[in-house]
Amino acid sequence: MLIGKSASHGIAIAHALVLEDVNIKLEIGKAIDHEAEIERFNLALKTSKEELDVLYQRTRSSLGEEKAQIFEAHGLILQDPELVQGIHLEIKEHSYFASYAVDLVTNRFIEMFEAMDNEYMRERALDIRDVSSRIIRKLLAINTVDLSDLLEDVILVAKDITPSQMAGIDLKHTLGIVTEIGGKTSHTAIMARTMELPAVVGLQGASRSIKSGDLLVIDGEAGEVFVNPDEETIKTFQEKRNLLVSLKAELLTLKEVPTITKDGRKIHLEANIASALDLSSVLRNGADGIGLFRTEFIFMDRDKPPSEDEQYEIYKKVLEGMGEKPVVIRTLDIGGDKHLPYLQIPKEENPFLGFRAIRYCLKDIPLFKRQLRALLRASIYGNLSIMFPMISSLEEIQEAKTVLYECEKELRKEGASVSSRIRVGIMIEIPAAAIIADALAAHVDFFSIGTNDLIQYVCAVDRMNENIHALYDPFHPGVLRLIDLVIKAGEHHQIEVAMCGEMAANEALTEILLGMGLTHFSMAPGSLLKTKKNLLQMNFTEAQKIVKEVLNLSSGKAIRDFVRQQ
Amino acid sequence: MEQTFKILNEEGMHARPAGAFVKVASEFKSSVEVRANGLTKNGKSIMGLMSLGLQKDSELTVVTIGDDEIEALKKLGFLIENKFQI
Repeated sequence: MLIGKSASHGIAIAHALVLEDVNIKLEIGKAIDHEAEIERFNLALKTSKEELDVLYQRTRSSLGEEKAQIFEAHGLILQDPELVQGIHLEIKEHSYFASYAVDLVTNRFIEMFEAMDNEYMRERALDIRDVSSRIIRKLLAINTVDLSDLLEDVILVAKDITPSQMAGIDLKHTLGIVTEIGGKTSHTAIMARTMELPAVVGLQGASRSIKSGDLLVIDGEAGEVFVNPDEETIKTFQEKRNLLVSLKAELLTLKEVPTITKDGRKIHLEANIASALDLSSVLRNGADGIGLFRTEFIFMDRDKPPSEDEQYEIYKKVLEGMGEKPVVIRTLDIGGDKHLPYLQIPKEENPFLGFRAIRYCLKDIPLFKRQLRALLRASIYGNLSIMFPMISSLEEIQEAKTVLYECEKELRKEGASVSSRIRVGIMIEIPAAAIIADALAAHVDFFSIGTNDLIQYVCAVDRMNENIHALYDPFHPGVLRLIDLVIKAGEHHQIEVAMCGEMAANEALTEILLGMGLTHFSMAPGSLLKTKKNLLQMNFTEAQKIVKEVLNLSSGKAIRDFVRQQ
Repeated sequence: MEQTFKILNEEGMHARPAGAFVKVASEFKSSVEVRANGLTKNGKSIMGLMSLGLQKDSELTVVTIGDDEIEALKKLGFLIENKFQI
């Protein structure tokens, strides 16, 4: 059994299709018939271009113009007159075979780009290499597997699967994914979760130790991969898979059912998303809205921040996609474990206690304003709420709101329309803010409790530090009492209180949170229906009684034991 | 025909702007050359253009030679000044 990282839950059983780095052997020697060799090259160029045109069209319709542009650029490199004429010349003057000439000439360009003192330009060398390898494969008649049109069920195994490859995958025949590179938050992993495709990533050596045709069993939740397992293992996992499939089918029948407890309390189940691509999974799982749109992913993996227009298009798409349902968009939460190379955030001893999120945005007003203006402009397309992260004091709320109102004033002056019903709220994830929640409530329209950071700060446990992982405890009475305090403060001031951290999807805590009075639970789309099923069987008054007892217990272990007995 | 321009868009001569320039330049029969930083590149070559490493505020001279050189220079100049939006 091989163990990698869990990237997307589910079980898949199928033969492996290993995407190999084919060993390319260039044709060395002298080509006698120059004309024929040039003709052969021109033909390879033509078929490569046709391939790129198809890729461009397909990506544009599935992922949008922006993601598709890369293939258009590849097309232009392919037809670059300097490149084409250079290759013709090498064949004519030195009698090189076409594949050798392509490699020779493209390498000149690659070296030139790799030597440039600009990271963006250095990366373009990769594009040229891609194009070069595409033409050479055509010349050598090396067939690359067309992932969008597979003949039988497979589990794809590769060093890495790029987002553009992911986008083109044949979902009818691809049952799972195994890669060597990547972690839980890599793009491949996020896309696999959205596509509800079982995936194990970060499995080193996978593409060497697994051969095409090997029978694989992968367990996406455990991050386990079995290669050619015995009958018994296959049977066990077949049963497990069937159970998961029927469970999922059963849950899907709840999609349209409103979430109301047995004694009539209405609960809102909302989704956490990181990109407009997640919308399909949000709608498929019947979410009542979006409780957290993490905008930092729009800012990641690039060499400069997104423009106002670029952000506007994305926010508009999400708001339109959700119609009248509420959409909570959180402003940039950067710093901590999320680093952006183009922002001037110095290296810090304690990044989680450092210059991050709203603290950074209030110091980089142009960046903050671009995001707020994009949000305000998009607001007319749906039901928008804006949420500020990492708030620790009233002054920060006031400052952030001042910038927001300035943007609104500017936009109205420019003649742009802005919705008049935008709600403004804050994340409650810093203990100081939680403790004075009653004082902050009068200044915002809603709270959303971010438990991942709140627990780390309340327990003083770095959640990335494996040595002290056990001390990071959502059942700690200190954590639960503080959450109860925040919910009560919200109730008292009649503002909505939501929860958008991992805790909201923790099945062992659902009843306690319900009993405390939480009305809005926000989580990964895939967890929504399971939580709904649980809530439908609960009783609010019952849950309130349980909370009373739980809050009197003095240790995480005692609370855990108590919950288990219930 | 030749004229000197300044790059106005934020990202400089990245893939998209260079691609837009090549597309427009290729519409004309005239040859198109781009000169900057002491180098001369073929204006119909995306890799040539990008290899100039032009950034915001960089200056470049566009040289067009041929039957439709006036029209070509006009259209390319307009493209640069319009931040490469076609």
